[in-house]
Amino acid sequence: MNLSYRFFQKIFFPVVLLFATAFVAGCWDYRDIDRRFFVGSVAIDKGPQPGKYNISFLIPIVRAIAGGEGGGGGGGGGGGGEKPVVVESTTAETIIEGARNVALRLNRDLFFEHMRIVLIGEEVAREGLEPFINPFMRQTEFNRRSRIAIAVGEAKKVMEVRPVVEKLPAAYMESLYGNATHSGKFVAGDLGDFLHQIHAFNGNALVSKITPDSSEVNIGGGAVIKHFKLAGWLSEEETQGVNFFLGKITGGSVTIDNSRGKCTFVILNAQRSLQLTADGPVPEFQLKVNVTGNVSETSEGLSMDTRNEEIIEILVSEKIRSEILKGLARLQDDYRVDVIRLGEFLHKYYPRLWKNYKDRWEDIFSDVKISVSVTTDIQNIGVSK
Amino acid sequence: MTDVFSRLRSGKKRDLYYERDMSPDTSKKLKKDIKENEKEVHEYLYDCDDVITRDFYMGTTQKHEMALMYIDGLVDKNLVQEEILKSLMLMTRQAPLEHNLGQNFFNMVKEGLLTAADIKEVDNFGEVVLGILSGDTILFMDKFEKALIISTRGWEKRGVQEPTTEAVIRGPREGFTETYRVNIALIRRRLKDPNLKVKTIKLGRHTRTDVGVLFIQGIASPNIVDEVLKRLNTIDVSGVLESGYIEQMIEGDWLSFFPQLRRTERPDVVAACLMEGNVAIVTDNTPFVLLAPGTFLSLFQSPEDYYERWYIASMIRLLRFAAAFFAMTFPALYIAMTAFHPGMLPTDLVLSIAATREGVPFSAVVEAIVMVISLEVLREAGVRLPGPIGQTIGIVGGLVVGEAAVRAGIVSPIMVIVVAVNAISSFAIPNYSVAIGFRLLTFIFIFLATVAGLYGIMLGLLLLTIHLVTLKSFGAHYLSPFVSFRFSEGKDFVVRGPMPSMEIRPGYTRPKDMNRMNDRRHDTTEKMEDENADKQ
Amino acid sequence: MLTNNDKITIPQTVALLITTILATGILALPRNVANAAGSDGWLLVLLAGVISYFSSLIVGALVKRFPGDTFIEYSQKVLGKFPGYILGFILILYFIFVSAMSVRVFSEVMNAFMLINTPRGFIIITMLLSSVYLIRHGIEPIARIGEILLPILIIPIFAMYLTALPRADFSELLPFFDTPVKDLAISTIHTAYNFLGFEILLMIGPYMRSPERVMWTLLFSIGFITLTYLFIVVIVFASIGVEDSRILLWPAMSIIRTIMAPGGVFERLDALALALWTIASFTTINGMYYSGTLAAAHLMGAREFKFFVTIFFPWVYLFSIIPGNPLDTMRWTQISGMAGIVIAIIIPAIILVISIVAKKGGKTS
Repeated sequence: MNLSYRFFQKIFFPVVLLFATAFVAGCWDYRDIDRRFFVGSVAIDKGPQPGKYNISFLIPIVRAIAGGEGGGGGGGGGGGGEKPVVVESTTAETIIEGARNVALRLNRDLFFEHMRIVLIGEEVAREGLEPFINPFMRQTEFNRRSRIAIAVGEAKKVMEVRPVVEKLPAAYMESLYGNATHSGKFVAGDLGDFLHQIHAFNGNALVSKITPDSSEVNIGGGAVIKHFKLAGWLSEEETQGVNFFLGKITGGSVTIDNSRGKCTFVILNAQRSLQLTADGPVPEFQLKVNVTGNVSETSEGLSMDTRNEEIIEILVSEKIRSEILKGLARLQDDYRVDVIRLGEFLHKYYPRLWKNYKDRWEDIFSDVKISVSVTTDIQNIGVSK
Repeated sequence: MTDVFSRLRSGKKRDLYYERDMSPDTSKKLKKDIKENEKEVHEYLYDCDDVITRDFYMGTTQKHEMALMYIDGLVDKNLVQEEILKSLMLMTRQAPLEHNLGQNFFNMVKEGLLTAADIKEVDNFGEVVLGILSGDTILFMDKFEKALIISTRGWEKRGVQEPTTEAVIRGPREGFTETYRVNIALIRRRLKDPNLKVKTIKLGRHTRTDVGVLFIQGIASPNIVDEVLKRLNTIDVSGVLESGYIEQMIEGDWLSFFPQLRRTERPDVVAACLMEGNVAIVTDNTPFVLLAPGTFLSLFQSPEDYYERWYIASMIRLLRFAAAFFAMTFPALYIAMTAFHPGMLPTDLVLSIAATREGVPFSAVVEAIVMVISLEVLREAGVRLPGPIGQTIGIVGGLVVGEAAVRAGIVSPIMVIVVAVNAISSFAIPNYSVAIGFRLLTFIFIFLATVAGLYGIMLGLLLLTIHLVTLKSFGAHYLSPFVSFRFSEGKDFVVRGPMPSMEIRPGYTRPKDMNRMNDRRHDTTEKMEDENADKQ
Repeated sequence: MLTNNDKITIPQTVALLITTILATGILALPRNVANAAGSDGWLLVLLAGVISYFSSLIVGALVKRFPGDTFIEYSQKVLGKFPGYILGFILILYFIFVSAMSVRVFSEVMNAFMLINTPRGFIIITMLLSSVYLIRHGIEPIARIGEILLPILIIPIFAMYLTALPRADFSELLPFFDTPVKDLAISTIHTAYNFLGFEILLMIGPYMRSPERVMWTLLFSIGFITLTYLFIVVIVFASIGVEDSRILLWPAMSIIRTIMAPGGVFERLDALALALWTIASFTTINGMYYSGTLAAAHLMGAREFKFFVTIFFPWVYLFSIIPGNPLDTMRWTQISGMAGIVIAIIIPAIILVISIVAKKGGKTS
């Protein structure tokens, strides 16, 4: 008797309870993986009337990606002719509303955790970003590691690029940002960096620029955001210069050309140090950049000796210095916006001084004097003299 | 109760034949008359046609009437003929016996004539009958109220073979057999220690199975020994056919998924555990020996862990833990990851999983449950069928049906992989019955994952941990080295420390003598190295 | 008047304390300290740790002074029958309320990151049921489970946050010491809420096998907690910046979402992290809930505490569904924090002073 009572108490009731909850509960968050669309990219463009946006979602069609072989036998054929991705567009006031709109047309849930890149149209960026960037912070589905870029022209156009080298455009675009060791001519930040800049610097940020082509995109250059609005673009050279200033260069190359021949210098590493040299009404800074790299290509006949090596080092330094100055000039004179984090530098290392400048910093910034000096070390010259 | 029923069934007439209690009675003493004794034994063993009675007269005078009783097939006939009949009937003729020895005649036979090795004197029918049933031969002598039990046990038995459930690459190949004495001998051969005690009791109203409790005095904690004996003595069942009967009767929590006694087929494991302070329970008629107290860790131990070098042993043991984890949770993890948290998986993987599931008519849960069940059926079918056919079942079931199901689009290929990994993981657990337990838990975890994803799995693991933490086996914590962890004794848990560092016994058995060895790292080894260096 | 003879060892007490203190509150900690002191937030954690340690010594002193007695007994001995009774009742209410709040916060984090549509009640009830299942077995299994879960909890947490290191920018911790001292002092008190949990010693003290080492136990536990908090706050600041830490509700969770497991096995570790927070939360609920039921059993003079475990279950649940939304919850946790300061520091201090003045209590150490 006692034992059977224990049995009921310990096994039977819990099991009944377990199954009862299963029937009552249902599975609130359960959703089979094939019932979701894994949005690869979101594009925001200007809508037909003010306050409205054209929101586009880039959706991969897994059936087409898997390539038909082996897998989806029962899926009704599949086949080679299917497009691997579709773009769904809608007009809405916010991104979340846009996603809800699309739900009227699509039978599966949009799922954003695998979103790779947020694309923002040029026009909409000029009008201001603050109405729609908040969900990237508030919603947990958006990943801070995905990229964000301002598109030249319409953002949807970028989405419609069908790359030849990759099946998925979103993955293709995102992987371009992994090329920092090959080039320093783009802005290699992600959504997290972007949000951080926006929140820390009063709506100023340096964001990536993306230019669509027929079957490719180009991420060279940069976009300058001032008070949540697009102020203008940076050219590839200027971007490299700004990257040097920020110490974000981990690769790229510089080609110098003078009467004796050409030389391509591949950057391996760049170290910078920023110092405050004067703290008058307008602060002055000194930037020192030390670049190390390899000489990887020279004109025929230009052999490497100590003298040439020195000349190359000087010329490379000169070239980099001019790039930095170009970038600084563009930011200080044209856009008058501090996205090179000088204010942050003052705030972190000279907090008392910063309090004096803080309120007028936007005016002061364009007058700030920055002296730049670049030194270059050649590390390797390959295996020919 | 039973009485009432049987009376109802048989009507008014009580059928004495079936009602009579046949249990031998030790209080009933033997009689003087040999015929009466024989008759009485036959009364007990009524309708037992395998009982053989051999009457004969001893010596040249043919005056001493004697009788042998034994069961055909249980005794070694050669032994009966050579050591009993021959010595009593023929040898005595060469040296004529003095007459009228009186009471001394019995002792004369016992001490001077019988050449059999193992002889015991008894005076009641209970022991006589039990002796006959155990395979001994009974020698009755006329005019004596005593009889001799002569051990002549010898029946067809399996020899010592390699244990099938606990095969090792390195280690002894001997396994226990079905014979109690042989099993005890196998252990005794490994522990030539007077402190190895063997206490035999008989269990089972009908089977009267010999059950031996073995322990090493001076190591084993008296509490555990007493507890084991106490629990064994409370067992009152009609039969003990396998040690599993005992295991399930004496374990503390019989609702648990986890066996609270370790079972093994290997004498070397028993010897090792005895030296750790465990108590072994050897049961007649089965090669499986129980070891108490069992711990969670022991489910993952294989004797090889101690025979191989410690890195290998540790790595393999870690693998087993991982395998056990996957055997429990792999399908559940798959469901949680794909249906609840696809954001955790790499994008490419998510897309390819989604692609394989495209067109599959069932949800992942149904798929998983169906696949796990069919795999269980396949495994069971394979175990029951003889070797070659079992393999065929495996191939047909696993490859042909699986492949066909995938081709037909009923099952996604990734689910086949998941279930296969789950099954293979469970086979990496050394203990088969535990592996089955883990696979049962798979279903619970699938259910939990379906309701609440990874949180559900976590909840399940927490509940499992709580259960294990509260579980005790003969007073020892089931989760022993993990709780109340002491580093000095903790060199044998998820990893196995180097042998010279395992100086003390594990503490969960509360051994009386903790020292396993002298610390040889500091003196012996270094000394040897020094000596070698000197020689060079 | 011990209900059973279970005793816990010093390592078990340490594990119990650490796992009880370490709760889901840590996910919000970087936000609180960032709002209070900006980039000096980590300093706040350090100060709060030191202050908490010294305050916890009061509880430790009581444990040493009244060996074998729980708060319920010595408060009655020192203050008299009736005031002690009232205090005991408040203590029970507090423990129940704190366990309700911790399960509530847990369910909210769960709802935000992992199970968006799952009803809160389901999460709360399943969590509480598991807790009930454990604490019905008494103090020793609770301590033992703490001992097992502690490494399972701590090692992955450290490993996980360490993988954020390559993306970290430690200059975010600058400027150093930029906050006025007055602000620091006030915020330190608020930060000290996160160190609450050691007050379970008021109830569990007499179950320690060697109460004379309670000071070391506290030092080790609170020191360890301080280091863990410090580590997490520094990593969070360095990887998402102080400004974003101010805005995010659970910054410590948000940064886990940016971490990619080495080797790309997992795209992100958030679900795994939440599984870990399940442990952290579970152990906290255990400690608090058990202390509450134990206090009730002692107060009522009951021999068996299991009865109260069942009785309190609906109350914990009801308390946990009082707040309407996450913002409401934040307010309630602030209240429970303030109550905690009173329960864990002020009341024990009063009792200690009175007992020393009135020379009550057993051996003085």
